[in-house]
Parts: sequence; C-alpha cells; structure tokens
Amino acid sequence: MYFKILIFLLLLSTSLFTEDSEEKLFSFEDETYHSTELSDLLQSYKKKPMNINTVDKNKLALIPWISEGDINKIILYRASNKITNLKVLSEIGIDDITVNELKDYITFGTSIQLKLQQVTRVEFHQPKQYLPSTLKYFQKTILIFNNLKFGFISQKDEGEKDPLDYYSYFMDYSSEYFIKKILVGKYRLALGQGILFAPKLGMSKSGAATSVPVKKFNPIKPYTSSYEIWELEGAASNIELSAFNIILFFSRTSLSANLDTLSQITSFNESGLHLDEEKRNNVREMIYGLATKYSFNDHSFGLNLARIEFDHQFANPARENEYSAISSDFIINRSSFPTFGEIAYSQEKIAGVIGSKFGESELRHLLLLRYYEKDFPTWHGNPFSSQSRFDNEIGLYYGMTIIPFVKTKINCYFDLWSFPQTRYFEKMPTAGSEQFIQIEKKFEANSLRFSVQHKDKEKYISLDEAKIRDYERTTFRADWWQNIDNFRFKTRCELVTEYLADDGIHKRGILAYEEIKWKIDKLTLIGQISVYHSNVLHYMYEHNVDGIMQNSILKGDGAYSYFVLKYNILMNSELQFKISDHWNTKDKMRLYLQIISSF
Amino acid sequence: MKLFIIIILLFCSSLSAVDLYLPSSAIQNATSGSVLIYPSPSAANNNPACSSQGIETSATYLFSLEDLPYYNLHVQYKYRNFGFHVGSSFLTHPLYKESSNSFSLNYTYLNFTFGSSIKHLYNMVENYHEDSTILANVGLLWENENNSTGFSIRNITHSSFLEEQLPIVYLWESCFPITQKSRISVGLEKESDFDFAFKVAGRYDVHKIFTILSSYQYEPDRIGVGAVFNLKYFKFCYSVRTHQYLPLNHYISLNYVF
Repeated sequence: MYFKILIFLLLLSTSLFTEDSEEKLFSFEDETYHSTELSDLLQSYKKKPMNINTVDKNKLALIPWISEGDINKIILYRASNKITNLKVLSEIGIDDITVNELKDYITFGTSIQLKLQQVTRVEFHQPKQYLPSTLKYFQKTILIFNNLKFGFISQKDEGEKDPLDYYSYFMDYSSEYFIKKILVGKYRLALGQGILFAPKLGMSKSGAATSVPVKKFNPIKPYTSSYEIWELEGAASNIELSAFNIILFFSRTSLSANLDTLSQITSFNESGLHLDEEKRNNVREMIYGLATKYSFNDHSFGLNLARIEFDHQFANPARENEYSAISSDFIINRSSFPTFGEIAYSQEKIAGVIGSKFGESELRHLLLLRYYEKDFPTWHGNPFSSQSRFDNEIGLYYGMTIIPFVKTKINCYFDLWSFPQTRYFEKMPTAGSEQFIQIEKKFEANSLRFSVQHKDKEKYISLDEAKIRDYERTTFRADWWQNIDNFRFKTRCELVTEYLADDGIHKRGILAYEEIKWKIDKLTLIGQISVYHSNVLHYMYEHNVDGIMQNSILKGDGAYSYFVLKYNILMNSELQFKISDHWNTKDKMRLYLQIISSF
Repeated sequence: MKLFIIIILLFCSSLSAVDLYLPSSAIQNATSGSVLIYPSPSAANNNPACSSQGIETSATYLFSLEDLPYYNLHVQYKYRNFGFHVGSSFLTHPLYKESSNSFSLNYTYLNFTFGSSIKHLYNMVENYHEDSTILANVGLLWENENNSTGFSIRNITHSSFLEEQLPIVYLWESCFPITQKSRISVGLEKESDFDFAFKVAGRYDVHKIFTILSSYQYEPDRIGVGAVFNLKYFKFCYSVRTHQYLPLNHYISLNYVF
C-alpha cells in the first residue's frame, strides 16, 4: 500500500507519459439522445435564473464558462453596489463574450416562493419503428414551495411495453441553516473532482479550455435525467457545522445487467432498453458513505468514504463486488490561483487528478495531471479523462485562454496521454495527443469563430489485418453568426481529414450548414439545412426541444435538415416541436413534441 | 532498461544528440526552446542575436537518469551595441561523451540585432567512433515595446559529422505582452527532413520574485513547466518537460545578472 502511494507520488512528480482519447467535444452516442447533466443544469438555470446579486460564490461557479476572476469581480462589486443589468457586468471587466453567454442564466431580481414546473414530451423515431411500441414518452413534474421541492419523472422508451418503464422521484429540502439539504428519493452524488462520484455524462474537454476541465459540482442533486442508470436511490443530507460540511448518503437500487452462466456480471445495460424482462433490474447495488469538507479562508479539504456492494460477482476477476473507497480532495487559494485535486484509493488501486490555474483574466493557464491505475473501479466516477471508463490512464493537459484584444478570445488546449497497460483489443500500451485552438471575434452584429482540432493516437484498427495503427484526425471549422433584427443566422463550414500514416490511407469530408433562428415575443423558430460530402464522420450539435442535447452524426453524400418551433401558447406554457430528416435516406425522420408549463 | 534505450538512441542518432535537441537551460526546458519570453544568457545558443547579460549555469539528468548528466555554462557580456557570448555544454557517460563550445557575437542597430556564432562539436562513443566538427549559426532579432521577433538558422555552413551532414534548422519566434504580468510566445522550428514543430509558451509574473513558465510543443508533443525565483542579481529556475515515451526531464539553472 505504502509502496503504491510512493510510486504514485513519484509518478506525479517525475514520470509523465501520455494517454489516449475517445472524447468528443460533446460526448454523444449515435442514435441515443439523452438529457444530460449539463443540459439539465443549464435548462434549470434558464428556467430559474440565479439572482446574481444574492447567489453564493460556489453556485455561480457552476456555470461552466465563468472564471474565478469573473466571479471575484462580481463578488467585489456587489459588496457595495447592486448589479442591475448586463452592462454593469461589462463595466466591471467581464468580457463581452462571457456576458453574452451568461445572459440567459442570471437575473437581477428576487425569486419566487411557489412554482409548479411540468414537462411532457413525446418522441417518435422512424428508424426505430420496427420496435413493438414506437413512441417514446417523458414527463417531469416539479413542485417548488419555498425551500421544498417535490419531483416525479417518468419515461417510456421505444419498444418498452411498460408505460412506466423508468421513473425518478425526489423530495428536496434546502435551507441556509446548518441543515443545508435533505434529499429523499433518487439523486446523484458528486464529490471532489469526480473520481468516486460524478455525473457520468459531463464533458472533459471543450472550447472553454481553462474552465471546463475543472470539475465544479453541486454535491447532491435530485436525479432528473432520463438516463436510466447510475442514479442513487435512498437519502442524502448536507449538514454544515461551522467550517465543516458533512454529507451523509445511502442508496439501495436495482440495475439491469448482463449475466453469464454463473450469474456473474459481464456488463451493465446502459441503453435503458429492456427487451428481455429477465434482465430488468436483476442486480442490486447498495452504497453508503460519508463526505466531509473543511473550509477556511479560501481553501477547502475534503475526505470521502464510501462502501459499494453488488449482490452478484463480476465475471472480470479484477473487479470485486464489495469494496470500500476513500478519497481526499482539496482546493487551495480558490479565489486567485486555485490548485485543486483529488486522490482516491480503492481495491488496492490508486487514482488521482491534480491541477492548477494561474495567470490573469487576459492570459489564463491550466495545467492538469491525472493518473488512474488499471482496474480502478470507475462505476460512479467521471473525473477529467479522455475515455468514458477512465482507468489505466496517465496524462497531462495544458489549456490557455487568451484575450489579446477587446471582444476577442482565444482558447487552446494540448493534451498528452498514454494507456500504460493494454486495453480492449490493443496488444501493447498506446499513447496519443490532442491539440485544439479556437479563435472568437465579436463585432457589433456578427461573431466569427475558427476552430482547429487535431488528434493523433495509436488505435487498434482492422483493415486487411487487425493491428495498432497511428491514427490522425483533424477538424477545421469556421462559424459565422449574424444578427439582423429578430433573425440570427449561423453559417458553418467544416473540413475533416483522417489519416492512417502506416497504410497511406487518407479520408476527408466537408460539411456546411445554414441555420436561421427567428425570435419574436412568444415564438421562436429555428431551421437548419446541412449538406455534406464525406468519407468520415461529422459530429454536429443541433438544437432541440429543451432538455435534450443532441449530436447528429453525418457521413456520405447527402443533406439533413431540422426545424424547431417554440411557442408560448399561454402565459406560462410553451409548446415545443421538432422534426428532423435525412433527405437522401429513407425512414430517418424524428419527431418531438413537448409542452413545458411553469406556474 | 530505460538507460539502455537512451544509450541506443544516442548511438543511433548521435548527430542530433550532439547539438540540436537538448535545451541549454532550465528556462528553455520550461519554454520548449522559446527564448524571447524569458531572455537569459543561454538564449544565444538558440539565436545568436539574443543578448542578455549574465552568467548562467544549468544541470540536468537527462530523462531522470543519473548516468546521463548534462551541464551547461553560458556567459554573455554587452559592450555598447555589441554582445559577446561564450557557451559550453557537456554530456558525460562512461561509454558516451559529447560536448559543444560556442562563441557568439551580436550587434544592435535601432530595433534590430544581428548575431552569428561559431560552434565546435565533439562526440565520442567508446571503442566505436570519435569525431568533431565546426559549424556556424546566424540570427536576427527585432524588438519594440509590443513585440519581439527572432529568426535564426543553425548550421548555415552545412557542416558534416561522421560523414553525414548535420541538420539545418530554421527557427522563428514572436513574443507578445498580453498584460504587464503576462506574455505569450509562439514559434516554429523546421529541421531538414522533419515536419514543422510548433511551439507556444506562456509567462506569468506572479510576483517580482516569482515567475511561472509553461509551454507546449507540437511534433514532437511535449509540455514544459517551470518556476523562476528572481532574487536580486540571482535567478534560480527549476523546470520539467515531458517526453512521449521517456520519463520527465528535470532541469535546474542558476543565473547571475551583472
């Protein structure tokens, strides 16, 4: 044990290798649409913007693109003044691009005492019409009464017979006193930098090069996602005693798993589709633990303990079905040059992430080192990583945000990594790197953004023979936003190349789209047409009804379009509709109908 | 095992190991060879037009291997518009030795500085080969309040070593202040028969006695980080830099400014 800790510390200080990445800027899977943690978070802020004059520092920091420097400027200003509009934010030194990003998520007034939120959504996917019951249904009801929040979420997937195929429920009590929160029902837990517990669908790398890699979580939150796995079910509480913050949590839930002939777990069903009833909720999982945090001045130190028990053995002998985990996290000098990290130990394996941000708002740097030992239990964790299952990885990330001129922002990151041991089909350790640069320039009514992303990694690829090959992928992207009265136009041109150097194989593709958004008082219309001529995959984010973040994957020669309508039918109710289709491929249409009410 | 790999690499590629790959100070180790972002006497080794008066001595164990110590000593003196630099570096191992000694001269006219250097290289592999050669480098530097840009060519003499021509290297670098405390430097390096290597380096003066340096180099991919402690006439720098496959390269430098 001590030897391993020593080795880990030595690695932290002396030995840096590089690792590999399957990460996309936004992690989405083809044919799978989920309301992610980030989407939910942003939507909840949009529906209930935070009062910038009263919101505490930690909650403000949850907005992904706001920096510590910006937060400090807000805290300092509001100590003796009231922030009354967005112009004030610009005047206190927050750059215009960030102010524009913030505007939908903040308010300057007071909050509401009683509120009922209702979301009902129906989806029809033509590609899945072979399934016995084609319609997908989702509903979310949340009642807020002062400090109390009650919620019920239900969903039925395509192909499911059960009209209540999945549900989530919660009772959430929050206060400013020593019991900060009590949550009963389904919830999600997030601690430190996310090695033991974190939302699973968050992103690690993005255009916000010096903020997104730092995991900033609200530690306990109701589980409002429709993703049917990874939630905890039971109770959790957050108690604050002077400088100590204590979180107690307990969960006992059922999971759908694939079992072998010995009833050992081979994998979990993460799709949420239960075509075989015998595999539904066939494994029990129990979790309990304690997370404490001690904060003083600008520093905080946390110690987290958890016990995880499955009632079935795992087929993989390296995985135990009952194990304890311990982690320690810290943030030092969080207001100016934050150094942060988390080190965890479980099943005689070590995982750690440590990082530091330094510089000024005009030139900010982030260095982040991670090391995750092979077969470290990754089940509920999601720290900064280049892969969804984050074990067996060591890497160093370097990000920079530069504001060289007014209304100009440059973000770049460089990530080097290696998988020190073999994984999947790979027959030897592999390494790789990723480079990204994005330049944004905002004018009076126009914004321009140029991005280049390059990945170079060693990957197991089957051609005439299966072997590890040097794989390169480069994306050039130009975006142009134009605001004319109530219209906003967005034009994109994207060129992607893929290159297998050893085999001399070079593929490329081009994609262009035009998106028009028209917004008047009660009505928002968004339409987009994409054309592509490509031998490679293009990942294209597209608008959707609220609560869904969606990434289309396009390849070949063709055209794709979608149309979104959002109409405020009554004072507090909004109708949302979307239709999308591939022009040159049959049976690819998707329909969404959603009603959102808020009283 | 790692020592064996490195020795084999040195045997196979001694021409590049002789001169052109190893940073000559902890600062250059932190900045991936960018010299304008934090000028020091050893900068003349990269671009002879760079002049920063002082004495700088540096030491490292290459890739953390105690059997491969690498030492550098650089002295630079300015007299009126002229700058003089002498530098020396040694890599010693019982089976492998290499050294380089250089002399640089530069002249400043208005915003421009022109420089050239002559370098003597020596390489010996026990019971295998021993050779030496002389090569010349030239450099140009342009500076004003908002920008400094340098360009240099190494081995303009197309000198050979062990009957093979040493690589010719072209370096370009530009450095911009972003704020009073922050600056950024970007550069390109092109070595004959190799792709362009792109570099970006950042500097942040946390305090008048403490500076953080960081950098990234593409092709090959390396990240460097360093801290400089500025104590009146003395500057102490510690830095680390990654390698794709080998352990970290730790470096220390002591710089005396006179």
